[in-house]
Amino acid sequence: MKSLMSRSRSCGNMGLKKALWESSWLLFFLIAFCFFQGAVRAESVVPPKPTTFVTDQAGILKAGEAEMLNHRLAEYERSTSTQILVAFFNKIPENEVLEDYSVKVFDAWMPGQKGKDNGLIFFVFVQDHKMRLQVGYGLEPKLPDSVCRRILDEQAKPAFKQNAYADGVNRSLDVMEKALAGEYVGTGRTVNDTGWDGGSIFIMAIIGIVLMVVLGFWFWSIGRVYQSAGAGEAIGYIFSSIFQLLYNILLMILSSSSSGGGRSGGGGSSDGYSGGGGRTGGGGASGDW
Amino acid sequence: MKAALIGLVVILGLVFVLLMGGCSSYNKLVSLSEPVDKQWAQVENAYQRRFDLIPNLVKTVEAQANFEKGTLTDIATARASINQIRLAPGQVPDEATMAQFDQAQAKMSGALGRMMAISESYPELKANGGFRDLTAELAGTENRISVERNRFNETAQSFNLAVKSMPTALYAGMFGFHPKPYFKSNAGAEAPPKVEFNFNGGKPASAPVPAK
Repeated sequence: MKSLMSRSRSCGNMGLKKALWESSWLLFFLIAFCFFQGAVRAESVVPPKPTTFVTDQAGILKAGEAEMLNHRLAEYERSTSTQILVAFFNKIPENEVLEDYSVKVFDAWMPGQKGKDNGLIFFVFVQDHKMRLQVGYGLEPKLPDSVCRRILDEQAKPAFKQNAYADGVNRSLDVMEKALAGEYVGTGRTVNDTGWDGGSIFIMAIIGIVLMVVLGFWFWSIGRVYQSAGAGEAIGYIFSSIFQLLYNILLMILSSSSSGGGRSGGGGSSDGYSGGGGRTGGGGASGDW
Repeated sequence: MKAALIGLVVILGLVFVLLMGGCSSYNKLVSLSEPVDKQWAQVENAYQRRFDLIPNLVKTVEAQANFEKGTLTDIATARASINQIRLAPGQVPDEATMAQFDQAQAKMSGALGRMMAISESYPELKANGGFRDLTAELAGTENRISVERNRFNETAQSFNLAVKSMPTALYAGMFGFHPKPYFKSNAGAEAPPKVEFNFNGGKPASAPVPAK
């Protein structure tokens, strides 16, 4: 072991540093490539994660209706942390079953806070005349399948028959909010207000770790260069304090995202949506009109 | 003397490498095995949920005058055979028990599907609010079962891949990790029936999957 170390030192530090530098770049590109692959694959299956609470791909809502609905849902997340999304599509994709497809979309959009799983998506397939409430695990106790079914039959259906889509959704939301009253308490901010959603936390964590590794290697190699001069200890100290600092920053990012606070909302009241990382187990109800 | 020393160092090095490989393989297998167990619990939950729904459902249907009794006895026998299967708590069963469990549950799916199909022809039943709630719960539960089964197969697959691929395969047997059984989706019988009702006329409800 000792002979190996002394040999590599005698080989020249430039060569070693260069090798380290190149290997860290290789690592970086590998990780970036993995992310790219994941993103491409995810997008080809389900519609991309929306940036607002209301998605109207069918173009069915009248001017202003989408904004009002979106504002209502953003405010609802602020006061309860519960994320309810509304999505109008034209048709269920071919070779897809409504119930399976809505779970797939839910898994990709991830409404609801991580751990609470208090998310819900109201799907409306306008040309198919089909709708579905896909309920997250955390809302199942207050919105069991039978209640979802009643909401669809009694609130949405009559309005949808009159082509009053926004009205039907609003009436359904009224009943849902009543059923869910007091179940969850919000932080006054949406996930989007706080600025970090599940995906970006993960990316930040990866970047942080890569930074630590690369910097660690860098300082380690510098430390070895100056070791002969007797400055190894000082370099080691600098290295460990920078390492500590990065670690603390990483912890801060992670904790601020989980508590929902900690980072001031830069966007103000933009009413954007970012998925909190909620999950569903297939609960909910389907209906038609 | 020198050769012996080098030999010793080489052997120690090999042992070290093997130990490290063993440790990381063990950790990897544990971290992949835990989600499978958790997911199995979710599958059991979904089935349990359906199991618990049945008495109420049967009671409601039985109250309906002259309801066809054959399917109700089918449900009772399916329920009894599910009850007989003893599963170790918090553990994925072995392949044989899993097949037995799956078969019993599939029988139940078939019996429930038939009962639902028959109840279509009883207008009073369809108008009954309690019955409508129960069918919504049943439909949702069937959906949960299919979601959780799929997720189970996915997590089991990534575990099994690790058990069978190198270098973890070298250690898997040693640490007592064995491939987990999958849910097999045979044509027809295994797929949970989509219980869908159309109460207010219009298009006919989709036919439930007939059981073998």
